Amino acid sequence: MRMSYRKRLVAALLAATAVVAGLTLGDQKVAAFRGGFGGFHGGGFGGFHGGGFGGFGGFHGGGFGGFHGGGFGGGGSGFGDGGFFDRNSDAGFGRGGWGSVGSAGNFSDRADTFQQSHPEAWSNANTLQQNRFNEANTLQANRYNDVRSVQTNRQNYFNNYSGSWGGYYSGLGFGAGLAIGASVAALPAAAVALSVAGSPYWYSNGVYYMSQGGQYVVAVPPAGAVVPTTPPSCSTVYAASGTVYNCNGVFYSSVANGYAVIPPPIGILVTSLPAGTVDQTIDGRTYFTDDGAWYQPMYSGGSVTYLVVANPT
Amino acid sequence: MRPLPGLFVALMVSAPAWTSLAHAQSPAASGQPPAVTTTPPPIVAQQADQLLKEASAYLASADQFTFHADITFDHVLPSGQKLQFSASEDVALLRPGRLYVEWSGDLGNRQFWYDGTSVTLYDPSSPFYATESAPADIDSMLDKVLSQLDFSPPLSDFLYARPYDRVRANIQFGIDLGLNEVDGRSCHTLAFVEKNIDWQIWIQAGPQPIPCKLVITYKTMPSQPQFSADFTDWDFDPRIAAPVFTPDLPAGVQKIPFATVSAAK
Repeated sequence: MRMSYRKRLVAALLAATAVVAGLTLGDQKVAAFRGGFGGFHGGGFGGFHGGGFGGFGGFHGGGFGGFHGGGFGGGGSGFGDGGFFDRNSDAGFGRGGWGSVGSAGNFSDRADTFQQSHPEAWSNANTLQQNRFNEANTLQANRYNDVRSVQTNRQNYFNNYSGSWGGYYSGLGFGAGLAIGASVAALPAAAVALSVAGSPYWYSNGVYYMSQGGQYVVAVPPAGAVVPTTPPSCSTVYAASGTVYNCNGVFYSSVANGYAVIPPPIGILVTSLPAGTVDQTIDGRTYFTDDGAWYQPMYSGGSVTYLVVANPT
Repeated sequence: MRPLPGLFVALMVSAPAWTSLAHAQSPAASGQPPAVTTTPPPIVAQQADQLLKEASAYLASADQFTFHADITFDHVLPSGQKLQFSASEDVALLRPGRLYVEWSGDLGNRQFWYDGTSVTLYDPSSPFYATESAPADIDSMLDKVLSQLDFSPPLSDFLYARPYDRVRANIQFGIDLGLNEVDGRSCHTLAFVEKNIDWQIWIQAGPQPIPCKLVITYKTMPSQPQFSADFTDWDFDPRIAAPVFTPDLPAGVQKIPFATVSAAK
């Protein structure tokens, strides 16, 4: 609950005194110095975060915990491992002018750009939706158990190539919630078999599966996989290397016999990093690399995003 | 105020004008390029215009204030499904050149500091922050952040020196819907139509014409997502401690650049 400002002022004075006296208040010191704002640091927003979405906090912590010591996993965000709804991860914090009347023109201009590169958002929505629900119903039986078990394991499978649409294969629709690592008993009827670097995969509707212990597991899209058609919900991106397709954060380029999975091309902004990237500091700048692609973190549109860059070494 | 029947009549009278204006503004629905027409002169009810001016003047006259806002905002999935999320924002403003905004929401948190020389943005779920030099006054700083850094703290309209001037130019039509209650306060309800958005603002009745609530509808976007803010805890004598405007970052965070607009595209 928010305190009156008299109480907050008193709290600030007490805290200031304590600091002078050499006491360490830890996080409370931060809150106290806020002066008039002690009240909302007290967790006035707890209603949402403490409730039914608490479980998702685990994904987010897993995404960064691996190499950042886990100290920053507690952002309190129920979803936002990045890029769920747009090229940039979007906490709703005024990207491009969102949330301001006077800036509505700015935001709408950006929306037009988004529209041009995401035509699926405007047309075929019903067809896509129906396909997604059919697929989701087929696989529904295993979904909740698998997701729950993956949550428990907190494996850092997620955030792989999840640039635009989050750690789930949202190409199947938010309701399908097929997370990487989830296992299914049977493949979708239309799945095609692939071989990538000698390993067998199956592919359907933008999702890749591997065989594991008599079941099929949703896998990270393997670079080099060639599929006959692009997955649903692709947007065309004009990168320096040529035209590529961003399909729910997985990038494809056109090849002779179909479309090949490629790493994100240089110049692309992605909202989350693939698993296994390591941070490196070069010339005082922070980068992440997985020995293939290089990513430079930057704040774009008010959110942390990663720019795919050429090898800076 | 009991002009309810009169208001009803006013709405009935004004409705045809509103309808034709709306039709003139929505050629995009048919997928054809807009016909070349001369834009009709803006039609804003005098009462709505006056209340907007008063609210703006009241905020502009304050040397400092703090407020809290409970926010909901929509995201639209590619399938067209619209999801609503919540957030809250706390703002501390001290003219001419201090601002602190704290955002806490379902999809993430942000902290934004402006101390008259630079702006700093921090996502507490990440180990990164960014900082950039900024002009010495709030208006110029907000303009730079929007145009070059491609973001703006939500509800920044109310932080400008002249909020009315900032929003008035884009309004094509405006009406006063009378008094309604928001969180137990009696507030004038105003509704405005623009090219890209429709918006409603509730302004407190009485001696303090401050915003009670704001709703923006992005009507040109699919599924018409909305942004709404419920204002509470307006304080015009807040005694903000100076360190509030100084970035307070945890140990170990790293500085990364802002992507400027030209680089991001």
